Amino acid sequence: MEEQAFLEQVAQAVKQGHRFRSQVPSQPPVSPVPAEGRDLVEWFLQELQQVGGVGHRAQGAQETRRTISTWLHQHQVREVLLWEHKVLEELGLEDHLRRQGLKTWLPDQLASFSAEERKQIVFGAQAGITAAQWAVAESGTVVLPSTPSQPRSTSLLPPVAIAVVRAQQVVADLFEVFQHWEAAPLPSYVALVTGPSKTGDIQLQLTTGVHGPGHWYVVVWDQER
Amino acid sequence: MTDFARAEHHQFLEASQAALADEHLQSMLSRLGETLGARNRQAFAQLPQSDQLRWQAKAIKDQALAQLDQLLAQLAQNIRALGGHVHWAADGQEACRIVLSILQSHGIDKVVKSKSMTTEEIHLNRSLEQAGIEAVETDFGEYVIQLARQRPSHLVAPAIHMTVEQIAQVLSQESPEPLPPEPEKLTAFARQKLRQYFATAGAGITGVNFAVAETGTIVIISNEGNARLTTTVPPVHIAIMGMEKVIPKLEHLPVFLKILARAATGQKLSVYTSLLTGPRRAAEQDGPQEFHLIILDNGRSRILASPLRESLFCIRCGACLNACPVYRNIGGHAYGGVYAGPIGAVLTPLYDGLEINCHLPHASSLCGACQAACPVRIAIPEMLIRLREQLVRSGQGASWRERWAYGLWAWMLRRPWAYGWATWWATRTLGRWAPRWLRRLPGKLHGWTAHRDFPAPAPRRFRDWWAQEGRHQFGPEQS
Repeated sequence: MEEQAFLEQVAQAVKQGHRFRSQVPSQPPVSPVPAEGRDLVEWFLQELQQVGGVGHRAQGAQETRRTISTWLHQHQVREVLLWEHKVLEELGLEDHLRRQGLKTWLPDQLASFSAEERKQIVFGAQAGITAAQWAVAESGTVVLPSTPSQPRSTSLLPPVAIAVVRAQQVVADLFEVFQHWEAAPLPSYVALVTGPSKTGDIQLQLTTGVHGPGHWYVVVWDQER
Repeated sequence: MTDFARAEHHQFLEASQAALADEHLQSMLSRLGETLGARNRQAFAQLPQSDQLRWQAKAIKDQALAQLDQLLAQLAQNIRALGGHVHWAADGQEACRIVLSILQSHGIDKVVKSKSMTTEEIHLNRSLEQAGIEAVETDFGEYVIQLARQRPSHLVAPAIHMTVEQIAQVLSQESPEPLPPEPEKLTAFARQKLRQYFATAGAGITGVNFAVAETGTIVIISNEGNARLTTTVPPVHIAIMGMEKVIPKLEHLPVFLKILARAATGQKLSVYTSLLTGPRRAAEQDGPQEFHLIILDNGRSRILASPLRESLFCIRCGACLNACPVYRNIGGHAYGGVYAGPIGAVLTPLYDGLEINCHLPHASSLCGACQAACPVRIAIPEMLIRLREQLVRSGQGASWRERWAYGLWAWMLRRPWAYGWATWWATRTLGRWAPRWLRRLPGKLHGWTAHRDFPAPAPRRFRDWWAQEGRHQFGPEQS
């Protein structure tokens, strides 16, 4: 159907429907769930555990790296996809993993392959490591925007996914994330990830790891104390 | 028109009888209240300002529909500016034709789909099949249903009517060796199997949970991650949305995100919420190179102009199903249409025709549990009454006996002397001679007493009691 004709029909219906509008009592806008003096990182880690994720608060870069290697080791990971991201660079993560004998893949390296070869590599990797833009304490959510150096597949295709979050990136409530976005244009893709992939499709029992990663880890990189 | 459902509509009564006799279905349905239903109530109880949030969601939907034409134009403009394509479909057939023409222009013969009630509504899979295009459902429950050639029976748990043994049996058709009835093994098998489809499909087809007009963003929510795979791996993404899904601003989105998962499953957020703003951009390695949005009317503008406008607020969470005593007894298939439960009893007659779905508006005790559970507070019972009214007006809903009886009743209620005489007569006869509860009413009325007793009229009328005693005890003080 032509756009113009479609929209005219809708406009007509809007006008006719006006007298059937719903009665909604006027409400003050809902404010974000307050932190109320809670430690945002602890709150986030609790909620993350609730949704089946594994989290750790690491003090300093060294503990952060060690935490990641321990998790990768537990799953006998040999090949890992990485985002190209400031936080991971500051962490020196790529070198660290390579020294441990792991094969690492950065988007830059993948760019030189054909789409088909790239698919082979990305589908074959056993783990993906991303940074994050924010973490939301109230729901245990991590916010992952995509850019050319931050592919969507990294947190999606491998059975094990790890996100590195700086402690100051944790906010209390989802509303705060959306307030941040009002200023800047959205990237082509953003994933809000809340726990490992799961389904309740079999007799309402929870089963994890259907399509996305069944193992979801978040390390919160905090200051050394 | 959903012709596959047509044959079944007439059998609503038989289908619900069969559902009542299905032991497994009954045991699953009986668990809905204490699982999804209870989790929903608990999640809202724990959420600060949840009442306010639900009113706010309703107000946003109401406002969005009051400017729907402008919002759709804005959405389309923004999506085109991002390099996406927008198509307009007056009905399901046109939507299916658009999908086919996109696929055929690329020579695509294999697509992956993530769960979408809208594609169920337009019977897209059948159109694709007829055109020789292989379309694979990737949501675990939908995949099982598709292999079993059945229909979903719940908005968010489509295979709720099947046992783990039945699911194992269905999936074993696709496996070289029989699969054990163990959930982990079954999902692992589906993961492996469906990965092959994701890797080779020419396009991914999804629905849309929300579309944000001001940014041109579409939002898709899933727990399994199949919606993400569908929009990440294949080179073409086709999204089909009912036109009522648009909301004005990005700041409105968290209001809905916060209530949708809580209402559906009691989660604070579903596992994956995807915000897609146009196709992949320069130098990106994944995501669709081409993005198409199909905006579907299919009767919605007719509903928008009607007293049932509010049914367009539905965000397809399934909370009303879990709360409904009728759904929890007869399950989803008995409703015959694509949408089941209380909201299905409203939507199916609206989309598919009231006359052939004449039983649905009556498949409710009007107890109001659906409206109480609804995160956007849709007045479902009121709409069911409206539909019943329409049925009666069209002469469809009631037999001549019923109409005659109600006609007499109405005549009597308009004439106090007649009402007084009738009640006097009833107390003098049934009220004095009959037992307190009547076990069996005569003739056709026996339908009512087949499963319960009918209270006999009291031996004394209220008006007599009031005149003789009540007035002195409870009446206004006399000075």
